[in-house]
Amino acid sequence: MNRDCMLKRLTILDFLAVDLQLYLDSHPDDENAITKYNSVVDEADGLRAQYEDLYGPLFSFRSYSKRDEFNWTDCPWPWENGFNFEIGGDE
Amino acid sequence: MACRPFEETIHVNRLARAYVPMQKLCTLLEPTQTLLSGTVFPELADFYK
Repeated sequence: MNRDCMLKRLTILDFLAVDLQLYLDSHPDDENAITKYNSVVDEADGLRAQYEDLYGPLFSFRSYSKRDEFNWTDCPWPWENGFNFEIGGDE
Repeated sequence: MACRPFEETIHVNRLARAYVPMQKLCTLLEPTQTLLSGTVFPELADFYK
């Protein structure tokens, strides 16, 4: 999976987690939703660690993979073209 | 029997009171479809036709 696919997958997984969390707000004991929510969060965190190992940190204040150097400043900045990916384009 | 994504029997005990049926978890949209439809729940994806 290349960087853009990983970023897009992470965006989707985080979106799923938020939507399921909103459902769980009103249905806290729905077992199916809890298992689905947990699997989404686990997959997202696993993917984040994988992403960080390959392309560097996603957050300046938190790291999902053990880093011994602070390379937040080496990556493309959010306002640089190389940072973002295309969401649209495959409707 | 197809899963109905919302509460169907509503015990209305007050007149002239609005009531939103509780949502029930049935199916979820495909992950890639969620970003484009703005929700993961098909019953909430309401495209204005």
